[in-house]
Amino acid sequence: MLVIKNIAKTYAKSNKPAVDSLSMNIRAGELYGFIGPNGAGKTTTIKMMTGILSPDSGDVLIGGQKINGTQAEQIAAKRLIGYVPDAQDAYDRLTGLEYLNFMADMYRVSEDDRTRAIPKYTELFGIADALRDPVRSYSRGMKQKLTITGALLHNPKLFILDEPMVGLDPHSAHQLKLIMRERVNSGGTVFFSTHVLDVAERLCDRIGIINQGKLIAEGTLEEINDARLNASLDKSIKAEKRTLSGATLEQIFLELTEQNEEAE
Amino acid sequence: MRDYFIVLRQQIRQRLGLSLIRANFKKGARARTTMIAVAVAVAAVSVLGMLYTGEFFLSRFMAEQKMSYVTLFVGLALTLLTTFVSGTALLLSVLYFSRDSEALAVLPVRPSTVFAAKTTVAYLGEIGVSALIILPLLAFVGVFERCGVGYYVKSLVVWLTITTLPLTLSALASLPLMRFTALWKHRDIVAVVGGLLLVALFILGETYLSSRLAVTLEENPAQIVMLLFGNTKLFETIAKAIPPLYFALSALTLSNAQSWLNLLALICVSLALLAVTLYISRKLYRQGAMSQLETHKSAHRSRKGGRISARSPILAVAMKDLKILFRTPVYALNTLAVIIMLPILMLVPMASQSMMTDPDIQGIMNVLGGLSDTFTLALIYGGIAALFSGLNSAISTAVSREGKQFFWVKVLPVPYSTQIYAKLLSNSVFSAATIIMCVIIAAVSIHLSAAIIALGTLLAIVLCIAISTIQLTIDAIRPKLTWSNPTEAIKQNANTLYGMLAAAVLLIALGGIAYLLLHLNMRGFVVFIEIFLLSAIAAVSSLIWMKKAARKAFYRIEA
Repeated sequence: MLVIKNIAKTYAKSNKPAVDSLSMNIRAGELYGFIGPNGAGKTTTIKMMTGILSPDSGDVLIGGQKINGTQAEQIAAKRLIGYVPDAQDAYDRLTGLEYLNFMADMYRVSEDDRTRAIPKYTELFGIADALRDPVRSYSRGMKQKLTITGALLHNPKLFILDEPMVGLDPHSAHQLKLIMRERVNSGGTVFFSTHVLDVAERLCDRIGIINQGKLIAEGTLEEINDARLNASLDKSIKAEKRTLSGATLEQIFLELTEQNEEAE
Repeated sequence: MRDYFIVLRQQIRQRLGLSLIRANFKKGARARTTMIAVAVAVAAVSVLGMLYTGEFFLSRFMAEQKMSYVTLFVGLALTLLTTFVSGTALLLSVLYFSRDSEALAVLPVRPSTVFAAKTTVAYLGEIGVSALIILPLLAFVGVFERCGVGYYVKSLVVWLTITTLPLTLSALASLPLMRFTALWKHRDIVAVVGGLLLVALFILGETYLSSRLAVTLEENPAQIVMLLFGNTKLFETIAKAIPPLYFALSALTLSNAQSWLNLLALICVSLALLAVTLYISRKLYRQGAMSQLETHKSAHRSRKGGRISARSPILAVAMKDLKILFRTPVYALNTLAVIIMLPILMLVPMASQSMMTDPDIQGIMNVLGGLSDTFTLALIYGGIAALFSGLNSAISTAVSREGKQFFWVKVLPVPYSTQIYAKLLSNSVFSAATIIMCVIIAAVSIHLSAAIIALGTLLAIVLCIAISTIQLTIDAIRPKLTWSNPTEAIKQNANTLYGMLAAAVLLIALGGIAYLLLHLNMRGFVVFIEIFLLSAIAAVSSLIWMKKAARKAFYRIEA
């Protein structure tokens, strides 16, 4: 569903690449968690996946369509995506309903479909009663729920979320996790970045760890742990790590990112 | 006082973006930054060069006629008016609609300190602009009148105080206005209407004074003769209606002790107004500013109002743009003011029944009366209507106003060309409103025939398409997406100026061609058709250019 081929990005005013030779292949029906420390390149990668940024090199293919290709390919790729940004940047001078109608118009969602989808998600997130209020009167969490609803209206094949749990109350976070799993079960793909390692550990089919613009580990939790063990050539260190064979994602994450930073 | 300077320094840095320019200059963007600076400098020198040439010849001629009083009157009155009009919108946005209101509110600083710092920033901006216009004029008058050092000292003081007055008045008027809006549920609308009323009232007052000039002349025709012989009593009478203007003029034109007393009076009036404003700000500013951060929510949560309905993407973007524009007070104030002020300026003198006696209007009517050809008059009318439409900053900032939300433009599965056409469509509301206003003025006030109005309107529509497209393309190529308050997006945006210049260049070029063709004794009908066709070609070419340029910019701009 999502193929990232060797993409790189260096911002105009920087000498250091934000993302460097990154490749990933995320299959349909997969829930993929993307984790990394602050400034690792998560948001830059997501922005290249959604067409906000153009990679300096490499390609991003969504459902076989190049998001950095011709205009027709870009539009076809974008139709498959539902995107929830990290900042709650909905148009705050519109009302909630106006915003949702706008998003549905952009993705050409029929009136019947939106009449079904809007109440379904807004009631699930508890914002149905606030839809006639201006978005600027919403709390951070409400804006997040509205953006998530807007991204789901066209039933996207690829659901991309950048730090989606930030600002959500426990009930809504739970609902979102259910929605993400439901989408995957029905053949869709979910890609999300997070700092909440517990969520990634429990929810994801596969995890990618990015640090300093490079993908330093990828796979299921077991695969990442095995790779980590095999990577150590020193037998004494290997033996020491064996004791952590049932390591949590947090332990693995800390170890890998610290190692990577030392190597740099 | 220490807090005041800390906030002031932060506000100046934020407004000017000096750190950003410095960073750009350091980090490899040196060539581009230098190029932009050179382009801006060339444009500024060209515009100011024309202005100063005009000021030079005007002040020399008036000095020869012993009428420098009139030169100073015009210069200072214009400074007062322009500072008030532009200062009102600027102050409202800086003081009440700025994104940093919340951040500043939590700091251990008195609201009146924030008010003073923000007003100072607005003041510094306005004296900077007024310096470019009024200081050379004052210098020319000084040179041609062979004035001494005292005159130049007084000129500097007058320049600094004459800008303070309208800004202080704006700030003073805004305090109760914004406190008043806090009492209303839909405070944005009240703020827009209040702001427009404030500007309209000032223009009405100014127009009333101008109409008094015409009435005085009508009642006492001898004054025309006196005026021609250098008697400036008439202007003195008008200036007395605005005491600070009178004090400033007297300070500059008299050479005795009385002139210094007048200067002292001017300073005292300014300081007194400033003191009153600062005192009232202690009582009213915080409530007014903080209430703008609140947004009304329905008291009773209801699912009524608004409905789920589908639109085409182009219409959806156009409607979204219009809704945001009308619901953002600074945008609404700046875009609606141009449309609303036009009929006020034209119709008020007529209502005071002095229009037909106004020498300027008489002059225009005589020129128009001399042109009996319907097509020639339609050309003039169409050009003027298009010019008024081109003055609106709605379209020349349409992309810049997306600001941080620009990333949606890139994420949404709608071609950028469609989104740009939608912006053009939403702007057509403003062009249409301006054209309708022009039709009303032409029919009611100038009594042009239906044929002239119809033909002129047709030409204006085509010209408006060309002008709007060019203005939008300029903004699409290099939008100002980083701003901390809406004023920076619409008012402190160079694209507005470039857009107006482009409109002026197009209209001057077409006007020049029309003049040449008429001069060659070509029939009015033929000239009209030719200009209409040229305008249509300009419109189509600009649409093609827009599609290409905007698409190129779309890939270049990284949100």
